[in-house]
Amino acid sequence: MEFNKDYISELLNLYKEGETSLKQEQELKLYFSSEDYDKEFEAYAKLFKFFEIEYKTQMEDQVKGTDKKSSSFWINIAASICIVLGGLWFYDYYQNQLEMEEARQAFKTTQNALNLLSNNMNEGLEKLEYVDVFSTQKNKLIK
Amino acid sequence: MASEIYSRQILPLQDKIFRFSRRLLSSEVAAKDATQDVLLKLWKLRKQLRDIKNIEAYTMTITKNLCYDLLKSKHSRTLEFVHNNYTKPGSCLDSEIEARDEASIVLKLINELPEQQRAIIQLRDIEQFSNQEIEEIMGLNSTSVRVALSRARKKIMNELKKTSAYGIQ
Repeated sequence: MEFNKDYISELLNLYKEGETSLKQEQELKLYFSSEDYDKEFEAYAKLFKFFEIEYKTQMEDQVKGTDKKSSSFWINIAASICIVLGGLWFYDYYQNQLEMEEARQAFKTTQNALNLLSNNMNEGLEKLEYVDVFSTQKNKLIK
Repeated sequence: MASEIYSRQILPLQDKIFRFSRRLLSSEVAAKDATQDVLLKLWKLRKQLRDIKNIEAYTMTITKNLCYDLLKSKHSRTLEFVHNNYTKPGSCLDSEIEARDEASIVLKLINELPEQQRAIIQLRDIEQFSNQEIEEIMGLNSTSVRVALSRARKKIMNELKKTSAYGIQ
């Protein structure tokens, strides 16, 4: 960086009066950050170097704000997976329940049909008693 | 939404708040506490942050007010912050070496300035706020800012020139 010595001393005078703009102060900082500043301005160099160092000071153990956002993002994802799985499970359960109901219904109908059949069968059985009578009569006759 | 503005715009200012309050309170520990307080205060105000044009200057205003309150309450209780970070009790050799360190000379000079000039030097020369912003933060008009700045700079430079003159001999 090329800096004219007269220009710098003019800037420094303005600086002392509090008349420099931020841009001009930037120029001064740049001038003093390189090691080849004029030794005449040694005292100013100390000041500007101090400003540089001070500006870089950081506070230890800062408050962090970004982690929270990402964790809530993952919680959202986890929650939606839970809801979807829950929905699927419930649908499955409901479907099973329907099938069970149908099977129970079918079982009942079949049972009724079988009962009906066996009742009718029993009715028929009464008539078969006569066959027994017939056979004893026959035995009497044939002996 | 409001908390997003907070973490995006306020949290990166922590170092600035810390440096400014350290300059005003002259104590690292007190400055840390003050920084936490400022962050907390802004967190409570997070819903209003959207309406503030210059959040950085606003933050600095809050920091300044808080530090001034702290200083006032310390004064009224006739207690002073101990400058334990700058004058470490130790061997004479240590403090001599420290005093020779250029940065610590400047630091000492700045800390000897009156409160207001210290604040203005910090805001202008270290944090590089514009004069308008400093007027807003400090509640001063443009002339007083310029005058205070010029006085502070002249005083530091005079002292620095003296010490460096001794150094050459």
